Amino acid sequence: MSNLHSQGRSDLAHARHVEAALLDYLRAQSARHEALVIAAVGELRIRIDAADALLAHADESQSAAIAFRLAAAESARLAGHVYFELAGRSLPRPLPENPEPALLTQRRLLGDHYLNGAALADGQGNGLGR
Amino acid sequence: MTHSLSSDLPQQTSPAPRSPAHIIRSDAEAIEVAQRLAEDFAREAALRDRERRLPWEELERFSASGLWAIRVPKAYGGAEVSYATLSEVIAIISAADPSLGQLPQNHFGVLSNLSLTGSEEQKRRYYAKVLQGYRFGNAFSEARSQYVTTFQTQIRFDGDTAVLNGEKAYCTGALFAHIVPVAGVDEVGHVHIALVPRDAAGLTVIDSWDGFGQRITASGQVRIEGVRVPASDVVPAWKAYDQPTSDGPISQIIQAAVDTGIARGAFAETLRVARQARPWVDSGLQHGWQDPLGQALIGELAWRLQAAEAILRRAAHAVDRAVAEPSEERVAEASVIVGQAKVLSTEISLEASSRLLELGGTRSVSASQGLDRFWRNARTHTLHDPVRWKYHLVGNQLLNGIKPQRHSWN
Repeated sequence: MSNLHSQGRSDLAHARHVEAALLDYLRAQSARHEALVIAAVGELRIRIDAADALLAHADESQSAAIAFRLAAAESARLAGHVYFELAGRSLPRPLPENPEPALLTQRRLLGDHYLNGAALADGQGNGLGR
Repeated sequence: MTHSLSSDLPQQTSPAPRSPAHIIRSDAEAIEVAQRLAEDFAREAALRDRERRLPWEELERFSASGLWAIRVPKAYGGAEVSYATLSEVIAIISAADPSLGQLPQNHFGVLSNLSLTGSEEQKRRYYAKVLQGYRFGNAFSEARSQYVTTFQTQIRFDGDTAVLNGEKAYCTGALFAHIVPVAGVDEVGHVHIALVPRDAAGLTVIDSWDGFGQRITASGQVRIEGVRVPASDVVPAWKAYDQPTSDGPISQIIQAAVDTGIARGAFAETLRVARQARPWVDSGLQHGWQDPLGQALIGELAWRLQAAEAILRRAAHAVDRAVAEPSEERVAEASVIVGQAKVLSTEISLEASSRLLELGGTRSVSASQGLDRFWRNARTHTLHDPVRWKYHLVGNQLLNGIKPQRHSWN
């Protein structure tokens, strides 16, 4: 499993953990029936499922692995944001187990790949730059 | 049977196909035919949009290719392709010209309803027509009702005849159709679909669509004034929502496929214009394609498009499961995942079509290129139903265990 997969899986697991905590919290609140709250919960689930759908293809190519990594990061980011918005506090996000290229670098390299046909790094993230 | 057309119909109008359609035999053939047609349709897509040149000839090639019949069940001589294949076909065509991708949307919706509520005799008769190349249009949305699900057009049964009266709007496909399905409500509130020949007396299709996007869909009005059809040409559409069926998710996934196609087309054009753009003066670069900030924007589009496509495939498999086993659980699952596909395809179609112009720079707004059509088409088509309520649909099932309501917008 590449570093990208590892970090992506960690972020996706964190997003799911925060979502579960959020659902537990909200189910004890009358706000669970408010349209804005329901829509926010729906948006988080959509980001989590998008990352999950990309995980299923992450082994097919390096560009697919980066796509999954970026989607997982977004799901984790949104989970923290929605939890703070609705529960009024934050849950700690685990530190990365292994170093990986910055997300914005991965985003740029993915763009360079599509725009210019630039080769992407191996599964360990080597060559992605840091 | 001989048909005579009234003089106020466009000369291209026909109540029957000009020649028999090819019959597609497999999912793989459907994809191959779609790819070939898409190359053809892409050539003059900008010109058709700019001149609002209605796609009569393109539609003839489209339905003659056999693609409009790919959901006809195998038992009736069709390929009965999966919804994964149908979604991909619609996305491929929509990447080339999303008006052409949208035009069969209601045709496939009607085929679904026919399979669920039609009699055996109706299925035999209409599937045979579709295999010959007949196109269904639609006269569903009411011009003045409070909710999209509220029907005002009346259908009254008089012995063996049904009589319809009403006024419809957003009738995509009606102008070009051989048969115009008209939704009407009976005395007890049940909605039926009457399959009305395009040249029927009292049926007037008005080419009044002036939307700034999806310009050649001709999604205008239909007036229905005392239209009479045999009762045997009416299907009890209401039964598709009286119990759990896949009718709603099927209608919606085709919408998501159109928007995914728009996003694909916009992304491909973004790459083309970004390769040609000049570098910004402060960048110190020789070429625009070296711009790291532009590359990052393209990377962002790339993964979001991949996500939308992955969820569209997942949604299509959920629809296939709901078709095979139309339980309450399966249908709700399909509605929820298709709702996710609607959200992601809406977002990426709008973002990609906007970034296309940003990364192309000022030269990309030249009207001669017509690159604004991607955003106009995305913005127009994604208004079909408000995607903000899809977040709600997904969240309500998750948080409160409330399944989506059953109608053709879910």
